[in-house]
Amino acid sequence: MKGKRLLGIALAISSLSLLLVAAATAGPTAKRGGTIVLDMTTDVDYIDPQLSYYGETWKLEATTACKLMNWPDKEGAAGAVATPEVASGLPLVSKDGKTYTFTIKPGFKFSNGKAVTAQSFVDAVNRFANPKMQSTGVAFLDIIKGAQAAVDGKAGSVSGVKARGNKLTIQLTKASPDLLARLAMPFYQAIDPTLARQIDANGINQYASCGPYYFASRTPGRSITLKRNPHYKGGRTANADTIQVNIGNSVDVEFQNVEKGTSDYASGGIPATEWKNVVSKYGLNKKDGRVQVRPQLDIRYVAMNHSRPLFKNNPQLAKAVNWAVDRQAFSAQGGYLYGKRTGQILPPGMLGYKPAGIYPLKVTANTIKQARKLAEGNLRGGKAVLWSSNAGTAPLQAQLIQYNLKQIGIDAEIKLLPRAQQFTNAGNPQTASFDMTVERWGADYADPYDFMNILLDGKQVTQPQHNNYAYFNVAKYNKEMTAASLLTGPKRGVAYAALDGNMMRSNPPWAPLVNSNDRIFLSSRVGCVTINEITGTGPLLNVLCLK
Amino acid sequence: MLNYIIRRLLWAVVLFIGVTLITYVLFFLLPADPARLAAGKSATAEDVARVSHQLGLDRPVHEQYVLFLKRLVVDHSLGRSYANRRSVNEMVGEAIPVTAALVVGGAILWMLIALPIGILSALKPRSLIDRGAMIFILIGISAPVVWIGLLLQYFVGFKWGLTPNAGYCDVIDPPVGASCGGPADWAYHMILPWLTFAILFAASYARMIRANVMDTLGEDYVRTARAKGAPENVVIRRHVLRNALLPVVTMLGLDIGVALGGAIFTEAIFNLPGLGRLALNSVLNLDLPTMQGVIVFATLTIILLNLVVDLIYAWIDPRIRLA
Amino acid sequence: MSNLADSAEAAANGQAVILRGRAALPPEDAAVDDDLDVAAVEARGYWEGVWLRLKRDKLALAGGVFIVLLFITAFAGAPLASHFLGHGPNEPFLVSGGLDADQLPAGPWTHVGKLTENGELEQQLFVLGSDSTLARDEFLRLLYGAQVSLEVGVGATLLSLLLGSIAGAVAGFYRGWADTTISRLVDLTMAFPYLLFVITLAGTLGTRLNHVTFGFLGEGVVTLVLVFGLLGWFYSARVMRSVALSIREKEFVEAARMVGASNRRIIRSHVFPHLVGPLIVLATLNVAAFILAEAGLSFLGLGIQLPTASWGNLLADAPQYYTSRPLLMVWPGVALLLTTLAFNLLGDGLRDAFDPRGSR
Repeated sequence: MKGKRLLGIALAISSLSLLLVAAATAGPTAKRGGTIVLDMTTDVDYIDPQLSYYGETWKLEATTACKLMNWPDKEGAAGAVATPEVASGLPLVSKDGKTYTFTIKPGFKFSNGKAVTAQSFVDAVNRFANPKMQSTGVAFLDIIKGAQAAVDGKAGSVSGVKARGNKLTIQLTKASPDLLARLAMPFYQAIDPTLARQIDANGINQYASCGPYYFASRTPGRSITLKRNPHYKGGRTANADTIQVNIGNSVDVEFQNVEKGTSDYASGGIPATEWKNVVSKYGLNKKDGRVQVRPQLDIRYVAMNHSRPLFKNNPQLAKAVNWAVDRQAFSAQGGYLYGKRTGQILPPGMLGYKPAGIYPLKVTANTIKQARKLAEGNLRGGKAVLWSSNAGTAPLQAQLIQYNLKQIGIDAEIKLLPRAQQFTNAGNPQTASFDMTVERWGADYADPYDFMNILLDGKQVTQPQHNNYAYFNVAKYNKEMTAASLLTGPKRGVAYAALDGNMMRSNPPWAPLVNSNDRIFLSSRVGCVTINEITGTGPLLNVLCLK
Repeated sequence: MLNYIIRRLLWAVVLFIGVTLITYVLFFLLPADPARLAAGKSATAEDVARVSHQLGLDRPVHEQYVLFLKRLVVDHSLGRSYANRRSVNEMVGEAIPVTAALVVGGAILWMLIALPIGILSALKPRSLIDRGAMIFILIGISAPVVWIGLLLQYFVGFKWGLTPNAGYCDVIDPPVGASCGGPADWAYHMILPWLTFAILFAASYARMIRANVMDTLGEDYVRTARAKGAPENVVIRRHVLRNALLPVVTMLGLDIGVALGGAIFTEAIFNLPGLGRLALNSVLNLDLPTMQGVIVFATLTIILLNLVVDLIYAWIDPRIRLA
Repeated sequence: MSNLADSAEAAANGQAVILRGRAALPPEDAAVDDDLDVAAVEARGYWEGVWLRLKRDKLALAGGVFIVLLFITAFAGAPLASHFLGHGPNEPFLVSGGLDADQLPAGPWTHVGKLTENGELEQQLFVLGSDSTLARDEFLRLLYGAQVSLEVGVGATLLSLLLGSIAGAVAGFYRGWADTTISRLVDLTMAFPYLLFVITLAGTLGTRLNHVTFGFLGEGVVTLVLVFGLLGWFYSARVMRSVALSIREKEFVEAARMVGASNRRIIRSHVFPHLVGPLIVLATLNVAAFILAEAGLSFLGLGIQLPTASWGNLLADAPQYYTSRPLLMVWPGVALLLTTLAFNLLGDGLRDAFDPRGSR
């Protein structure tokens, strides 16, 4: 689940919200204080605000960051509108739509006591664009004037972002339909002047932040501790004194811990076969209930590496893989309420989603025949390296894909990696020694740009760190994606839907598998369960309280 | 004695050079391009060349090794991780207390189990105690450590809720906000790991103690002592146990060094951030400096323990240093 | 690793001290002191004596029988079972029956449906049910896992014994610079943190060697055999050296030398037979240790490559089904326990049989 797994479930989500329950905000029983404990199976990538691009980290950063625009700590539609946080109101937008002016609200302070100013946001953009930082997310800077020059190292700072007193102006190269949503990403959070000077591609592990909490310590591979920001006056809830993250337990131990109450939230998941049990034992989606399941804008897929010989200019084989993978069986590995099978790039609920029915969602003798026919003559030796996460059900899912590939004549060797290493190495051209990798992506916000352009635009593939794990770089699609990103209204949806269908039909970069749900298992100790899928999967940690 | 000490010291140095040399050659020659890994995710071809030069990777292997030794001996530095650029010294330093706690605590536990079992079963051969001991020994030696660990974790930790399932607490100075810390928490979290780790050694030590005690019981001086009419418990305590347990204590010193690596299965099951876990993670990430750092550190420990044991032994038993 | 050390050292003759640091050692020929009278016995009588003594040790015999059956089951039984059941150990049965109504792995004795080429479902039997939610045949995977265990155990033992006994015999028999060199090399190897080294080598070498199967071995077996063998030879070298050392001083060797027998002839007819006993004992106990080590490494994901079944990776998957299918935890654990127990019992029995005076 790399990447941004932020679930941008915006308004569109309400169409799928069969499972959604009524918003449950902190009730009168909310108790302040105490320590909330989370279990994660593997370490995060970074906790550095300009580097981290991993859902597990963003769950934490949702409590540590203060941003110009943010998602309210609310469930459902109310939480899906980017709302001014440090900005005193919606920005003034120039007539051509290219200049945004924000006014900074006074009173926000970093955990070291310094005030948040307009400059704090300018610092963030400059640090984000600094080529020495090697941030994976720089594609989100593309519309900001002067950002490209900074990313390329031709300018020391981003010319389009300026602070004057409490005013912040952002100039764009073109009118943007999604700037406000982008500004709600943790990359753009206000940063302290000390952090602004710390330029290190390996990330900073301790810094002052301006949200309700701050990172008090991190021991890589072991634990992360968040403490309440003593200077915070921003009005967001901060119930627990401390949020403690323990890293490295297997999913079965996480399950045992949460069941016993020695941990409160199995952030790394629980054994797939337990979901059915816990739902029947504790009920589903009850108010403050222990088991919560939400649909999310997410996809699990096999990325086929188009920079290596096996899939380079070999669309027939990529199609064969799409016919061969057993999406039903893949989904079965995840257990009860895992998600919905898919053969599309865009997830249901996303603008531009249009089922095209190109590939089978269920394997039959005929689909295997079809897969073999397509693969025949295009196997190029038939050897492949398949990367997968080493936690939970991922190794089983990898073996399933391996078996499906074997049926069409590809002999795949599985390499299991800790999750953060898997996507970091996969997104780095120097270390991407795989032919296929089982990946997961969650939208940062509900817009196809965040799926299609971020994951498949070929302009990124030579960058030192990116999210195009398929190394898919087709000039025609690159152009169409850029064009689609500039459209607004229904035209935007139509353009992205056409791209999705065309790519999958004639030159599939991936084998899409499942749109998975966010499944949450909590201990009996905690209440105040509020889930805003935009801010990251899981219950809002700043709201979560001990009963 | 001085002569002997100098010989042993020299030999320890030779051993250290030998082991690091082999480690160095194996690890730096195995993967294709350490400079590329070291240069990091951003590296251009020039960066790689520069890093290669900085690390001395463009020099002949023997020069590289000397450089490595120099850095190790003069700067006491094991280098920096390719994966996260942290100092390997620092990472190893964080892992040592965890593994040390596991191994030393485990050693105490296994001796507490093995001593009574070994001695009692030797004193009463073919008795019920002896037969029970033999069964324990056989199963202890044969049972897979990971299986024992998983079973303990499930039954003791989860089903019966007697102990934590996994995790580590710092005994002193827990990190800010850690949900546990201090000696009581620490020991509570270590119960299952100690047990898991100790069973195998307890069995093999019980067997060794039993054999040694039985051998000693047959020695002439024991017969003489008995013939002279010494009370049985004095004979046992003064003549039998003292002589039978001396080699056991020696072994213990050596095994503690060896066990540094053996702790890895226990660390994996109970999520203890020790040396074994560090090594395992560095292997998954092809993080050569970290791999090498852990191995060099463990080697150093083994060599030192060997040296200490040798010297103690020579001090106790003059025949050895004169040989 | 401790497993390796322990069993191997037990092999020496119960006095583990022999295999340890130099200074800790009593005189190095202690290992065979007890054997000397036996050495004088004529070869046939010697083997008869061994067999008679072994026959009386019911536990060792049981271990031996179990091992024979295990080999038959693993190498003949597994392919046969696969043939009669109609499927292989790596085939998922998710279409029908492999998972029960709750999407849990099917329990023991379940009939599952296999999709044939013409689209029909053919009923086949899962004796022990499914291995995981991937719905592969647990029974077949256990059998094929035995193959992998034995391949690694026997392969690594042969390699380490071959290297170790040659080195040890040469050192012990020729003495001089050969002895010095080899003994120093042994000391050097012993200073390695064995398991850490195995893990790193398995992880780095493995990427190159894992596909080497010679057409019949499991993927990853070659890596483990090489790593265990190359790092495990020094135990046998020590034992062999001390055996050779003591034999070379024996009267019958001197007698042979006096009548003008060549070194080669002395080694072949007089020394070698006496090495066989300790070698067999060492081998038996080593197999158990290597099997445990293989399971441990596969459990960590470094040993046998997926999807090849090994008891270690079966054990690694099992905790996910703790509450729903606890038996999945039991099968591979018990298989491992019984197998290593059998080898240890047989090894102990053999040691006593070869060394009657040392037995108690």
